[in-house]
Amino acid sequence: MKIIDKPEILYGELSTPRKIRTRGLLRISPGMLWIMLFLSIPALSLIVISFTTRGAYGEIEWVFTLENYKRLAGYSLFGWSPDYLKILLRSIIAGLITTVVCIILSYPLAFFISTRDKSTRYLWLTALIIPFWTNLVIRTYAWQIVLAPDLPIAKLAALLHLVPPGSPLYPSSFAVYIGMISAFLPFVALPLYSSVEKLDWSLVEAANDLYCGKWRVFHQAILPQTLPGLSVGAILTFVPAMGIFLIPDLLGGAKYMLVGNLIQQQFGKSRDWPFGAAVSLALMSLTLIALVILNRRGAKMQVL
Amino acid sequence: MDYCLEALALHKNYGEVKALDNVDLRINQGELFTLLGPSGCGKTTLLRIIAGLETASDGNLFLNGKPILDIPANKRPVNTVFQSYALFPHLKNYDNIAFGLRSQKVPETQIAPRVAKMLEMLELEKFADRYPDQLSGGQRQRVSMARALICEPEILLLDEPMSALDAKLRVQLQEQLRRLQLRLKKNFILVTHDQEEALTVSDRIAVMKEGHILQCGTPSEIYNHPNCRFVAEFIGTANIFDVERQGNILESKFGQFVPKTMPEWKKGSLVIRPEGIRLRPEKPAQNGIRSRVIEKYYRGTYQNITLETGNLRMRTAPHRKIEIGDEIWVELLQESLVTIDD
Repeated sequence: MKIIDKPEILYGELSTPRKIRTRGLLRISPGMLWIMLFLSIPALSLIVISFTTRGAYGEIEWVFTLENYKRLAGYSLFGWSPDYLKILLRSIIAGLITTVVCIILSYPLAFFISTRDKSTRYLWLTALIIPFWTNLVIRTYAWQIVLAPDLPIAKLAALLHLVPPGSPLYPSSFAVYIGMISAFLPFVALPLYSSVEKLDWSLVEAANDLYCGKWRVFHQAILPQTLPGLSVGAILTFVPAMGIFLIPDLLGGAKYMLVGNLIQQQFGKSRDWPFGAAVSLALMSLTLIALVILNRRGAKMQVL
Repeated sequence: MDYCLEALALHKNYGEVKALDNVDLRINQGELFTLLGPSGCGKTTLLRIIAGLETASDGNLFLNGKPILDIPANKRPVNTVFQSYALFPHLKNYDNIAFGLRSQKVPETQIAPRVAKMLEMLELEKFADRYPDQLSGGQRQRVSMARALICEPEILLLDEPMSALDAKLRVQLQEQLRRLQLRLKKNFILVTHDQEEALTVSDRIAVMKEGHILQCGTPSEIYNHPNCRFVAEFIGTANIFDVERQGNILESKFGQFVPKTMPEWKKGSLVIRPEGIRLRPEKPAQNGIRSRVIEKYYRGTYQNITLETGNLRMRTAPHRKIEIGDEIWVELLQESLVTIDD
């Protein structure tokens, strides 16, 4: 990105650098204030709470300790067990699988839509967006019905001896993935579509002209060009997918607990805010690390 | 003799539109062959069919005697210099040039000397470690050329490679292109809409219009003996006027003319280039016109003059003292008169 030092005309308005600076400051201050109030302060208090102790009735006692983090790492009165770490790892894997599957499904989808006529293209795009008009809770409950034992999908699975006959396909990890992928697919497909639509096909032709096989055409001519859309989609999917609790709650039950459920449990039923805060911070730092890795790799692959 | 490329009855239809209509083409070994025509004449379509980037609707195409229409683009031994150059922006120029060899899994130890040779030949050594967007248009074009030539294609295809460059650079690069082609003795096929470029660099030219090849020949054949009105008008400046044959003379509004060979037809056109019209002190023996000068443009090495009679355009030496309004005698040189059947 180019930083303009001394713009003389900005959006058609004649101005001086100083005017632009003050005006800019005025314009971003509401947003900054919002973030300060509703993001930074809660995050900071979360950090503080994660070092406090849970009282006998679930209240916060201002006794500072590292106990919550030790517990997360698996140390308790009864020795070491990796249960919480397993949940964290499982969440990372769930986030990764969801993101990767969404990407794999989105490429053909984005190419299909962007190669339609202008008129039909918007119909397909609308079809992709329509699920957003329904609340996620309702969509997720709908999957419970779709995966019910006497409906075709469950029957087919029983026929293939994947599950015992007459049993539903949820709660299971399979159901969680179905729910997550269908919920997040548009978040990858839409940004990817906007990249694919702008694709410079002459690079694809050049790659073909220079003896590339299919995979090399994709890797050298398509991937670098669609990387901006892809990384936006990947972030929009991976970050919420790691922390989501609604879908595993409704479709995974006790069988497939993710870190989102753990956090919800601590702040809810268990009334253990300090431990919940510690888990939340662990999730946040994991997400941050993942984003940094993605960013670095992205910067390496992308020129400009 | 084996043709380097032979197209037989090539057709390409886009729905109702015929982009190529029964095109026959023979290109000799070692030629720089140019497809010339206005936009939409099918020249780029023909080039893309040769490259394999477009499929032909019907017909046959032979490369050194082998049919190639069924060979996909990524297996055809031809390479293209694209109009936009289509360099990979995420790769350095070195890697762009090495691209085709890496696709073919040539070992890296063989790639390095070949890239070095290309960089040297096209004077790109300094830019190997830069990215394409750090180069000027002319440099990018050379990288694109190096990237295609390193694969040692049987034909190099060039799709309007000069169109993105400014006029002065274009002339320079045209000469460079010709020099390169003569040095490599390779077959080049150039697509252009610039008739001057075509005349400058080509061994032979095919002039195309609406999916047909109208005329195919050397630059001087095309320029001096256009076979139809379109070719005469498209290439250079031409005076064209309607004539009617009456015995051994051609009758026109401006007088009677006698060409070198009499055409068969009754009604047709006569074409003469500006340099085929000469100033005469008195009435010439034949093909003379007396007319008034209505326009004069001084061009340094020559001057362009327009005559009142049918707006005839002619060219004289720059030192001739001619003023607007002068009455002059001119002769339409017999060997420069070209007859065209409409």
